[in-house]
Amino acid sequence: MSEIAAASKPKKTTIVVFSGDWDKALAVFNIANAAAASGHQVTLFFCLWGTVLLKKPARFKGPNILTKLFSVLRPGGPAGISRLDMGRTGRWMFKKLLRDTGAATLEELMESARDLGVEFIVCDLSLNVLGIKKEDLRWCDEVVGAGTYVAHATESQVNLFI
Amino acid sequence: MEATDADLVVDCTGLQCPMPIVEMAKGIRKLAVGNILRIDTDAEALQSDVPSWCKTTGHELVGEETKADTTSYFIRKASE
Repeated sequence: MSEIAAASKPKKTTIVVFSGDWDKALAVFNIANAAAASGHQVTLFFCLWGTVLLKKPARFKGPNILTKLFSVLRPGGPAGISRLDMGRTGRWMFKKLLRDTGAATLEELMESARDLGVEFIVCDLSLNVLGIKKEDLRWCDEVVGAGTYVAHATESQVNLFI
Repeated sequence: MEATDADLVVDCTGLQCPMPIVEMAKGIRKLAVGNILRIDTDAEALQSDVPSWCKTTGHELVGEETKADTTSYFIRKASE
């Protein structure tokens, strides 16, 4: 057995999921799956646009007019691609290219990550600011603050911000 | 190494990154320590990813065999 695997404590990967962009989310879940499949304990810390990525689509929801308006603009789920979205055309082209290549979809990667035991923790401040409740999210293991992220990151050998 | 030497065969042909290593991880979980997993793939990246995955997880790459576009990797489970 290699020296790495012989270490008593499992290795850990933590990723800050800040962006809700569809292509960036693809990178997050690709790496999260690879790390979990390599025996790492994986924690994803969703904040700001990342929390919207986890939100079940719903419009006109929120405790006040601004959050209600926001939920119309961004009802939930992944946003467009970060470059060349071209009013959804780029997104469509990119998805088609992925499908033609036989690559897993974002949805498949997200579900696979859950199957492999990837932990989803969500920023408390982001939920409050955007008027999103824990029960509005598709998956959420825990609502936490930045201190929890720092604790996870401190123990991690792989730590990314996407 | 012959195909019959494997205790479990997982066909990953057609799968793209990162799904072959996800299937490898799922396959290895089903085996007992010392058993051999065979992964069949046509993804070129696995030439690098299989040894890397073995280095990270501690499982042992004991052989590989290429026929046409498909490569079979034989991995011995080292620990639970």
